Amino acid sequence: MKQDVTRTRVAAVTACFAVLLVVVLALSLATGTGGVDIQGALATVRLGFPDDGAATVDQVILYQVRLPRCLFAGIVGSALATAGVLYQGLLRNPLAEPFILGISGGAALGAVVAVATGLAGLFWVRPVLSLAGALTAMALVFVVGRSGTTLRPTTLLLAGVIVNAFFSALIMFFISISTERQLHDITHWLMGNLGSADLVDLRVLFALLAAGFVCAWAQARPLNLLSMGEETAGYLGVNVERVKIILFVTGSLLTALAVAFSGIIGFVGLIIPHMVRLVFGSDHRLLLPAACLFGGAFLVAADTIARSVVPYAELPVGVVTALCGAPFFLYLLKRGESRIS
Amino acid sequence: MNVLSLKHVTFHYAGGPAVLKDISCRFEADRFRGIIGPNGSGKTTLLKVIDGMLKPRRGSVLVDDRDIADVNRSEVARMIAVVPQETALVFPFTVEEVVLMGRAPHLGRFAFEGERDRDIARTAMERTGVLPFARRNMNELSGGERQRVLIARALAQQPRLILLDDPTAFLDIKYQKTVFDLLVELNRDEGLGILAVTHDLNLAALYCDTLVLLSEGRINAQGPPGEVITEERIARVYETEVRVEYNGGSDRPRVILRR
Repeated sequence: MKQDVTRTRVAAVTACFAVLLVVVLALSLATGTGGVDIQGALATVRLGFPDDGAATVDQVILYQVRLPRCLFAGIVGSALATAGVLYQGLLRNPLAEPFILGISGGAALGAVVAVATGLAGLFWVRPVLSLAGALTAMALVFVVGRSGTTLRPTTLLLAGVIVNAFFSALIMFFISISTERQLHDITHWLMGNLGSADLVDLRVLFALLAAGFVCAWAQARPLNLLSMGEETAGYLGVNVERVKIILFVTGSLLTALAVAFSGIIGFVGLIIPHMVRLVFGSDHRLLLPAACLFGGAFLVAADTIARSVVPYAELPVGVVTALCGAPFFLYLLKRGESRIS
Repeated sequence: MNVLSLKHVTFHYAGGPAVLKDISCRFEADRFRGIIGPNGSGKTTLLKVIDGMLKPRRGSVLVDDRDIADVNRSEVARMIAVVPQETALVFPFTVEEVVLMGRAPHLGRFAFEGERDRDIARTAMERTGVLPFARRNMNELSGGERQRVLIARALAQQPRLILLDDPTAFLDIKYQKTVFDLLVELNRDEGLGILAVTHDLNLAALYCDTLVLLSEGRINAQGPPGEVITEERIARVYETEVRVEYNGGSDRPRVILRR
């Protein structure tokens, strides 16, 4: 039997997911092919990171390789899961996910252009170009999807599909003229990877995620009312058009943030919201914080597997998210179904 | 809020022809009114204009003396509740959660429903007979049960006026009667204003104090059922031959189709 959604319950569930995230982060820190195991990691953490340049190999692996990467995975996972919740609520479509409105196509095009022009080697070029691509796509979809003063979900979806298709065509073009080496880079990016953690300022990224989450959380009740239909939400006092714009912009920016640096990591934004919903119900006041934290934990875990399951090689993390996510999702779906009937 | 009045309201959807033409009428918030009229006569649009969801192109909707366009949407939702024809839920919500949504206009942005809100929701569910399935999912219920949940949500809003858009569409006669009996009770015992759009002329005639008959976006007639529902008028407005009867000294007309 489902429990009431109260402040205490939201706090309790959020705390549980926060603990889960911390545990996953800790395990992930202690896992890898660099040779630092749990005991080593603990010992190293106890020593801290010396400022005098006398760091041991273990310390370098832990603090300069694994820690940024784990935190980065957490941030990307949280952003994607939150964006997924927002898009599913905005479009009132359970199949909606962060990449459905063309943002990923824009970001991918930016990244591909960076690689194809040979500028990707330069420090910031690829993330900046893909961020620009994502924002362009977002603006395009917004302009096309807006008719008069209203933002129609179906028009938005169509606009997203078309923008994605158009950008895919451009990506194909760039791929067709790229060298083999560039092709490898492009494919690697398209499959999603978290290897660029050392390029990003995690504090800035975290601040942006936090700001996005606060915007999302402020719309939690309107999101609940929206799932009864736009009309009903309006009857219950929601300023529907304003809320839809906030949801679109917040969801799109969170997605842009994630894809610009990590490529296209599928499945997180689709399944995490559903997993949380199946267990805890659809109230967004609970769903948003739970999905945000769980998305982070999930991607940290997936990335840990991706970088450690094959010795001295790395799987694209997108492969792992889909391989782990799909069966678990099916299980939850089946379980939810049998409970209803 | 005591009176809701429409003054020369004209409305058309963007680029379309006029749906409502120069509508003027008053709805006292303690009466049971019905809005009848053929398909496409503007009934549902009129409900949305009354609630302020659609803005009149000309004319105005006044809540007491204030233009509804100037009233904050949450405040409108505390005065007027709307029961839509159907609600398509994309994600699973329980009956109780749906009814509690009626408390939204009374709560601050970050507030959670308190004991008092849950009591109000419980009373509303009791009133409409849906308390036994409070914890079930909305999409497991039958049409008649869902309709009563939506009425419970409207009650949880604690409004002065409830607007219903064809509340008995898709319902069998038992539920039709249940719903209208409930509306009459709410009107009589709690002084709640009821304004129901309906296609069922007989239900409207049997339950409503007064009727508004819409035809092609204009008010064709308004008044007690006996004055509005006459053989000639129904034949003209609905383009259908009918017989109107009165049973055993009742002042409630009955419409009978002719073949």
